[in-house]
Amino acid sequence: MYSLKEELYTQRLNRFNLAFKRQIPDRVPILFMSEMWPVHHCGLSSSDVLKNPLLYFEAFEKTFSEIYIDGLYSLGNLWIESLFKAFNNTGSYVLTDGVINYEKRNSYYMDVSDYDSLIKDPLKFILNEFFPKKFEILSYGDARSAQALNQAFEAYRDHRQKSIHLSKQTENVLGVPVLGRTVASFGPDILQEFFRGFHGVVTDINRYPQLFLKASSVLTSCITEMKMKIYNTPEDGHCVMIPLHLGTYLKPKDFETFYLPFLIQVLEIYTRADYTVCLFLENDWTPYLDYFEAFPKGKIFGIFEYGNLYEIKKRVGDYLCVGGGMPISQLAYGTEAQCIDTAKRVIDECAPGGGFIFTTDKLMLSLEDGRFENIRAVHEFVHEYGKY
Amino acid sequence: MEEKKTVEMLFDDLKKAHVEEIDEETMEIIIDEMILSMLF
Repeated sequence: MYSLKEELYTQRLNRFNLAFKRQIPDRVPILFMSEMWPVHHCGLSSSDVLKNPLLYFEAFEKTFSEIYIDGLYSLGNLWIESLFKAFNNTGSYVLTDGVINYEKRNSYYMDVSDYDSLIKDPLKFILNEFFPKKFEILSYGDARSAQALNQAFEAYRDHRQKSIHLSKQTENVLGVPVLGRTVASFGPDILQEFFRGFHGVVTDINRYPQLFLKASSVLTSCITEMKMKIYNTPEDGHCVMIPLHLGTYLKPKDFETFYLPFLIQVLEIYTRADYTVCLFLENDWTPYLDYFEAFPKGKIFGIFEYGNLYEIKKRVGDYLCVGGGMPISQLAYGTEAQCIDTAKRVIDECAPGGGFIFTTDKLMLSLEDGRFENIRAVHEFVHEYGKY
Repeated sequence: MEEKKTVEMLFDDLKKAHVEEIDEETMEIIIDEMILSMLF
């Protein structure tokens, strides 16, 4: 028997899928982007939730019985603390004040002299040269390393099983689609975020441009191939999430040479295979919008952090589905009336013609990122006012 | 003296240790996911 929740789930998924295709759904879909916000809202401990991802369900169940949403950006549990504990390390992140924060000093174990090795075989480089630097215990190459790797594997497996269960529960019991099926990246952003850091890549672009380009190319191919093996069946209404980091921090000329070709490459690979790609466009992309004309035809959804969304949709709405519009600063510090005014303007300006998804301009990491009353009022308003 | 193993060799040992419990394709996927998670 087809339950009400199943019907609700299908309606919501179709809403997103039509928007991804830049068509007009029955209403403007409302996407909720958060990490620990629902956890804090329900009085749960971030630390406990990181240990047991199934606890997220309690947070989702309560939060989404109070706040209307059409879908969740992701489960919000990418950083697997228990995996890193097995290596006596926290990886590139730490949990501080209940929020997962990027800790750059914990990363960047690649030197310029490592480029040749990475270019020759990126996976071998990651395994045999990068990991032993990042995780000292793996450098011993003995029983201690084997034991740590085994513990990390068990921790990962446990997290994986619980995350799969959490995703199914959220979709089947609550009727809420979890859009992000996997998080991917590509050459320049991987080099910046995990291997060389911002200072490192900017230096490399100026001093060793050919090495940077070759490394970006092999990393894009290697990581994308791995991702497509892991998430091997594209699903309507679900996405490969790709946050964009380095691009807008480069001069336009450098952007054209060192970033855009790899962004296009990764979009082409995924869209050609019928995946939907969700780009989270960090920083202000307004000066770069003309480049979107080169995007492949396919299901691409872009969430914009900054810029005038009305102008953005006018300029690039033919190339991708546009998302964003609600500043979390207003959800945190504005009144209900101010928030609803903003939501109304966003719908009036961006909803016509379809291809639009209402969401916040940033992920809500902590409770301070948005007042419950404001979020609830805005979502109720958009759910009604956003009918086509 | 015991040979110093690379991380790649340690992962191969891990795969062999679970060969009866997890099918090869699933194990490859889990290991790839784990490797990518270790970058974070």
